[in-house]
Amino acid sequence: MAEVTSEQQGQRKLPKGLAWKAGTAGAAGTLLLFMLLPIFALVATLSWAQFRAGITHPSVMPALRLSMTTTVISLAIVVALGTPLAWLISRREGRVIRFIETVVRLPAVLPPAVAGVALLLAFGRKGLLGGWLEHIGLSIPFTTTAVVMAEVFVSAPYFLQAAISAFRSIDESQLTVAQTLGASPARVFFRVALPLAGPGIIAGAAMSWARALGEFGATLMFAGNLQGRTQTLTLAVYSTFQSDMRAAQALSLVLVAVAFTLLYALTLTTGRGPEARR
Amino acid sequence: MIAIDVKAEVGALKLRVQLSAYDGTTIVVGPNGAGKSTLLKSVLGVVKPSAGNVSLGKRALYCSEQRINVATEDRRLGYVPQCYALFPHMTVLDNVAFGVRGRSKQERHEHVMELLADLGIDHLAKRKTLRLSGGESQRVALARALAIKPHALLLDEPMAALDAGARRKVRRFLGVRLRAIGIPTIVVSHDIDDVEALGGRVAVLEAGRIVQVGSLEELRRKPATEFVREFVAAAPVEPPRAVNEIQAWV
Repeated sequence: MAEVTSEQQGQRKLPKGLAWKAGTAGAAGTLLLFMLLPIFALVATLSWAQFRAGITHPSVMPALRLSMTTTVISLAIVVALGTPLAWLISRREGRVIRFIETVVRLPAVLPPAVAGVALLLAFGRKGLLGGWLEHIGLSIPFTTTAVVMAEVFVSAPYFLQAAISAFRSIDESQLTVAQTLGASPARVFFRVALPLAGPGIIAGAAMSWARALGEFGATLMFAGNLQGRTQTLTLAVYSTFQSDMRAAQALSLVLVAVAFTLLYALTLTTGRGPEARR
Repeated sequence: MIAIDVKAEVGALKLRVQLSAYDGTTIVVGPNGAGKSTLLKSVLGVVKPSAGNVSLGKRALYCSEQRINVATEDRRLGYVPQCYALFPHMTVLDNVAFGVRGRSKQERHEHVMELLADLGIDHLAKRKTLRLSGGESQRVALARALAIKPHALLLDEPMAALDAGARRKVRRFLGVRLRAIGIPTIVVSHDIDDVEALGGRVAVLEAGRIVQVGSLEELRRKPATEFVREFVAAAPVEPPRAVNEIQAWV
């Protein structure tokens, strides 16, 4: 039998390696192209003049203002109330905690329309708390408050998930040491846990804010689409789309730019890990 | 003196320990999973025993009968965990100052700097802890534990996170230091070299129970179990090092 030279072995391996490389590159390229193309279309099919005309559409400024105000308020609520909740969940184990964790993650996977129906059934005029709310003179649906509530409901899970795993990733002995050094539970939380979980919490807050900014279905069903009051940027895209395609496109570009900037900044800050913070 | 008489159950481990740690060093040795760290945690109050007593001098830290369970933050025990658990978001100075209370900022700073100088690490004060070597990290962790003027000191596997070269140096440093501190000190280890270097009494923990307490010599002469026999056999019998040789390392 002829001896197999290393050259022959190399020749046999080469096509195998090539097939793998071509296969992965093909698959990766196809999906990447599919994902880039619509974004490219948004940018490439709009002239500068059309963009300027689009963003001066009368529904743009009120929608932008409303989106900014409501998402900042909803983010503040999510962070202020979500951080203690994430901390409590991360410090405990057991069936009840697993159940609570599942419940707080649920809105992230619910179809937004379902979230809208659920919010109406809870806080709507004929909802669970409707009678009581009416009694104290409050009617939530179709108000700016409803926009904020819808945003909190759908975006909180993104924050909670990130904050819970950030708290869980803290080395337990760092918390124990802080305790042995005489730190009260509050001091352990503020001086040790919070700074250590900081990057994860910030990433969660950014994702949560982006989700709130893009919120559509629950807002439409629970808060409606009233210009200046409940019409957010995404709802304005939907409305202008029916009358003025270019205005919808210009608005979409604004949203894409905001989302991209946010995600890219996040990748830069969280992609480096603790080593880079030296 | 720390007097420990506790029962605790953590997972499959059943801890039933009676142990007194006097002023000076008591080294708790034992195989992996024997309950060494759990024992330390039950003294710290992180693991709540199901029954028993833990007292420090005349002060009860835990007493199931009298329903006493002093919170970890009020026990005043210096603790150095296995990987030192320094706070990476703080400088060395802030790490050590973390537990120092009740003085002006200036006084706190002076107290910490004094302590750092005493341990030969004052030049590291402004450094972030991620930039420290293993040996330096251990000194910072020790300084942080000592900064609260603890009534007792607990060290969990103090050499485990070090490479072999650093280990030799740190052992000698710790041996001299712990003797000088003079408060009850419990060191958990599974390494006979630590026992040799640190000196003091040795308590052997196996499957949650103390099976033998004594000096290394006593353990050598009359090992109570197979583990003790193998453990002491692993040590080369060396004459004790001259004190000035040890101090040259510090």
